[in-house]
Amino acid sequence: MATKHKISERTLYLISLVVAAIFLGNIYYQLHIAPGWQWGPAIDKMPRHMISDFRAEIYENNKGGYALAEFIDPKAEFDRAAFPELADNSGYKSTLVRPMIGDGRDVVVFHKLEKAGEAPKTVIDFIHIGPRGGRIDQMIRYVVEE
Amino acid sequence: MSRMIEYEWNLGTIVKLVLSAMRLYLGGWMIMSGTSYWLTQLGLPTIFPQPVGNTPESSQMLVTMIEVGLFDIVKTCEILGGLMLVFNRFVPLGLIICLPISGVVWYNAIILNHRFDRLFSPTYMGVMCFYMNILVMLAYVKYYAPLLLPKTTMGGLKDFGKIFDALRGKSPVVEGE
Repeated sequence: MATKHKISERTLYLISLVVAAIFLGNIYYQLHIAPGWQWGPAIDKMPRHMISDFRAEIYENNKGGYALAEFIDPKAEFDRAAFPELADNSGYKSTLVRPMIGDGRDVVVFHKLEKAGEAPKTVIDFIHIGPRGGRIDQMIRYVVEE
Repeated sequence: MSRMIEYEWNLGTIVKLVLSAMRLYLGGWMIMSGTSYWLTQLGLPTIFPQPVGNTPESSQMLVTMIEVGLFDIVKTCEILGGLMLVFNRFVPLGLIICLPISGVVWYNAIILNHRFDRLFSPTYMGVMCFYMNILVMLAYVKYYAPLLLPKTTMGGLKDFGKIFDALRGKSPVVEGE
């Protein structure tokens, strides 16, 4: 016959809380530390919010180089020459022609680019946000012929 | 004085321990997930970045749920349900609160993100949360069994008293079996 043991309900409850605390620590580690997130201004934002911040850095703060480093994945696919504003103090200004359109992790920006000494041009940017790290992993720019 | 619980080491005890561990882990996971979202909403450093899916369908669902504010409800329910599971209070209710959430997490992971290779991965909470939720619910099936009555009748106002009876700890089912 199996031996019977006794334990108080309170002790059992306290043990369960200790186990829960250990589990919480493990879950925190698995979610916060183990994945090796690339923390930065691009991460943990909705795609359109992230692109709004990206645009603000380039066209309002004139920090295109910073935006390139922080918001675009180093392995991103895009024609660097098509985006001359991705350098600090580039002097480009942008005005949205239509509100930004977001669908999942794709964002489309229809805007007018202006810079002193250059003819203004209207462009449509198709931007895709990567699955991890929140950074842009693909950009395609179409120039609208007027 | 605290009530003494008598037990012996047999299969039943081990199953209860495993299910209790599942209850605690599921609860902890729900709390962590809900808290991370609200930390972001409050402008505080987050625990992990909110995933927005790896496929267009998954991204559409998650981004839309966040943008229309549905995640506020989902993440609040996660914290509420998680606390119930961790603190072993209102557990059957906590499991019902968590079930649609873990079900959608499973649907998102498998159907929308096509991770069929991880359908039974024991370390992947994208699927395990749903399985744990169901398994722990089975352990509390006596509380759900009345929901399966095929023929029921409406009650009266006095039935609301049963809610207060339950809150006072008077169980409508036979306890301790």
